Amino acid sequence: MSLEDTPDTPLIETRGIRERLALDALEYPVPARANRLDFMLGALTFAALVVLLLSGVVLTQFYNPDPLAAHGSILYLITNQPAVGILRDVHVWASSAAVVLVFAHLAAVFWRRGFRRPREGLWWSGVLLLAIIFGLAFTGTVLRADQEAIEALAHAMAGAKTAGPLGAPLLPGFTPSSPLPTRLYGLHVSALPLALLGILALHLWLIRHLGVSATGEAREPFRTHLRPLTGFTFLLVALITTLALVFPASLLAPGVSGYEITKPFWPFLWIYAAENLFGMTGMLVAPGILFGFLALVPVTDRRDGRWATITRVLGAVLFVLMIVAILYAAIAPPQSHLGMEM
Amino acid sequence: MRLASTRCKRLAAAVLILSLGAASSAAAHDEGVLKPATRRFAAGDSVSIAGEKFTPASTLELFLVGVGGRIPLPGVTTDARGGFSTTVLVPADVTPGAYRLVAVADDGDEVTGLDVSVAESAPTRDAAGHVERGHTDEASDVPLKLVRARSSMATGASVALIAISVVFGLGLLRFPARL
Repeated sequence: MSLEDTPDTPLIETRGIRERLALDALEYPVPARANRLDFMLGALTFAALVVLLLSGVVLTQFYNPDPLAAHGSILYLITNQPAVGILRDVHVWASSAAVVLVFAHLAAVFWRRGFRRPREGLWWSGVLLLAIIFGLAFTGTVLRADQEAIEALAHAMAGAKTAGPLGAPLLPGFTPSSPLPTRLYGLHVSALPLALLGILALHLWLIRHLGVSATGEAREPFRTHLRPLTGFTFLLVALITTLALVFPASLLAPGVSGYEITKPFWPFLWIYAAENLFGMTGMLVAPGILFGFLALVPVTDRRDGRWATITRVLGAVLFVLMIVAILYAAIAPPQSHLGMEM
Repeated sequence: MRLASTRCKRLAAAVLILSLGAASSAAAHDEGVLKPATRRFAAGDSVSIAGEKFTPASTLELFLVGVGGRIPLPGVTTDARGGFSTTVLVPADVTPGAYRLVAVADDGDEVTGLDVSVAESAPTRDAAGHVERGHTDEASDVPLKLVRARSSMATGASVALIAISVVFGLGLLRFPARL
């Protein structure tokens, strides 16, 4: 039988292989509408995370988490290891791609109300994944040990002090035997990825059994959905690698504490803007508002609820506000939030 | 039985003598302490290093030990109290990275050491516009002008990955019905 006979021709015809690899499991039906790009943003986020994982595994062999040696080890791999230097650039660009894609996925699911019953758990697990991705982005920034990293760490410690006992793990005295940046490295390469994998497994399980929230009666086997998804994944890899080659990730001089002269990694610029406007309170309240709102969405936006429209409008306003805040913070001159030298 | 006992005694005596020898060797140098002004060195910059609790009036060689081997720094002579203070120039061609600053006695024994890092000094411009070497203890938000390592193999592999990804990606999207 030819592979070109019909659109439903299985990818691999050999019965033995199909049976042994349980490829028939890919035949379950999904909405035909799910073949559109806006239904693949979650899977593309997953692809970016896989790129991050693979490049990160290599980087761990060259990065030294000792606070005094961290910056030097990054300098070493940039200036002495051509392939690893490119992998670091890929890692940095993949992190940006993951943040962009996860927010686009969030916005798309929010707009088509994919969080409504019975998919509340799917939404909440997604919100947790978003928080973990932010955690990975933050700890990744700190690992650079440059000026931006030192300032990010200083802000995190100031926030941790304000947060009381909840913030204790982010303070140097939590475990005096190990420096805070080294502990954050541990979180970046072990605890956070493990949490990500665990919640991702739950997220995928729920998608598999609750289905994609797409309208329309038409159904196609999941196998046919894999083809465009793989195509977009290849293009994503090409885009990330191109950006890594053309715009390699920068590195500032080793961080000197007591100064505030840099701005954070762009996904945190909206928090930086809140700090500009409301001081340290803004740094804690802004993420609280975002994640509080996201957690409440399935509760307030129900099919028979009066709050459905309000929730949708509020979500749209918050999304626009975040983009405006990021743009504002990118343009505005650096400000001191902790009373340090500028 | 008696023979075995004699052998045991001889063996114990030999071990004791060797131990004493090793101890006397280890005690030949006092364990000093190195106190550089900063642990973040910059290639091409000078750094002040103080030392104390070394053997008085002894000669010490200072080295930066990294993955590329030992890089000698100027030696020092301790004073009557076992201390010294010197300023050394970190060679400009030192590869940035993690190093161990070690003090070695004149008989070749490593007396003490501590971890330091060497960064590439960022060139900055003075008021007159001349390029000068920056100091790493000054905070800066200017990205380092790095001389990135590049090899034709790594770049070629990346370009090949991009080309293959584009071809496969577009191919899979262009012919969805052929799966």
